[in-house]
Amino acid sequence: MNDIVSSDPTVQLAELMLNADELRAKCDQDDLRAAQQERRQALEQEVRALHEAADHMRTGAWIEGGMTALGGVATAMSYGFGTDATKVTGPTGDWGVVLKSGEALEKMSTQVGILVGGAPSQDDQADAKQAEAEASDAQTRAESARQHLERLHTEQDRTIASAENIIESEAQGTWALIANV
Amino acid sequence: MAVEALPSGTNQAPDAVVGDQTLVDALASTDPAIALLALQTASNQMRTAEARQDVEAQTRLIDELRQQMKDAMKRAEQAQETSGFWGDLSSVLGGDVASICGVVATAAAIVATGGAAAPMVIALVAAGMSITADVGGRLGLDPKVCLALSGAGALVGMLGGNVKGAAGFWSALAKVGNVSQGVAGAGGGGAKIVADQYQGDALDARADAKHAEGQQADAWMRMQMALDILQDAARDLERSQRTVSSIESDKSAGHSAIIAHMGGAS
Repeated sequence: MNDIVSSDPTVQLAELMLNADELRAKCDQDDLRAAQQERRQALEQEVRALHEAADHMRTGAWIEGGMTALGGVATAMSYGFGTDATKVTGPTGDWGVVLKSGEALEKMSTQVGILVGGAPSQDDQADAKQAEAEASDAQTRAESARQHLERLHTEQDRTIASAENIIESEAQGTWALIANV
Repeated sequence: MAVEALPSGTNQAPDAVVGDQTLVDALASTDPAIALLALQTASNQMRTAEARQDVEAQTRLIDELRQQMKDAMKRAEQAQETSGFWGDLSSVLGGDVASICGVVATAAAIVATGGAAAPMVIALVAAGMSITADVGGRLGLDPKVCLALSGAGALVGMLGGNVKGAAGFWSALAKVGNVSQGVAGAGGGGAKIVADQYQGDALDARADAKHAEGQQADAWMRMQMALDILQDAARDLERSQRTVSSIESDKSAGHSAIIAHMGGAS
């Protein structure tokens, strides 16, 4: 902000207008910087959430797939080693326990997989979406501040041009008076 | 390209108005207004040179980031496709193949026991129905046909069970069916792990693309700021020129007025 130095009322008015514009421009610049900072943070949050979603998905896959695979292996082994090829009977004894355990593992695998990996991964993806929306909002605010700033610059130019015209007219008038004295 | 979009007037104004030698001459000028304009031009040239370098650097960065984004998107797409393949394999092994093995094992058990395994008949029908719903629908077969086939299989199984000599073969087949069912289930589980690993890779690649996108936006912003500096510099220079021109014009008008006044007086 500048001090008003002119004694001419028109120029003083122009200086006042320019000072006000400068203040508004400063506010817009602050808004712009804040919005850009917010957008950057939201975007970082989104990226982090997406990586976490990927990690949870992998963990869930290991748990679910591992349990299913283990259950399948237990079933195959219990039938392979725990039954007699000449008789149609299910695995008995220890192999029976292995079979039941395998079946239980297979049945539980999907639910456990969702609990450990699927649900947290979905949560993370929802967080990423939210952060994306926040980044988009901040971007809109930044755009708006930038446009306002540009309008202010145009207004400042116009004010200066008007003041210049007035000063020039006044000077010409003065010279004309001197010439005619 | 952003640099190309820069108005030529903005880019060339300082050089076009005052060259280096002209600048030195102007600074040595006895006219204070001209010397002031020359000073302002010199300061402007420094500002714009820096801004121009920044614009060029940011343009290069934007190009690099665009390429990074493209690569990441491609990686995501490939990982998604591979994940789809393993996902299909997982559902085929853990679903269809395991079910078919189960049906075969049950049918073989019925044949081997000569129909004594009545509960297994129910199991077979249930399995047949499940297959009908699962596989038949996917293959586009008529569900009624699938059901009839599984029922017929059960009947044949009961009749075939009376052939005592073949009991050993059928029980072995039942065992193979059960083992195969377990192996198929395990394979399905393994394929599921691989599918989701690729799914995770696709998500990571998407995150990388987002990161590059964010950096690109930052680079755009910095380039925009540099362009603003260039524009401001051009505007300042234009304003200074106008002011100096006005001063010179006033001076000239003053001289004319004084001469006219002196002429009038004499």
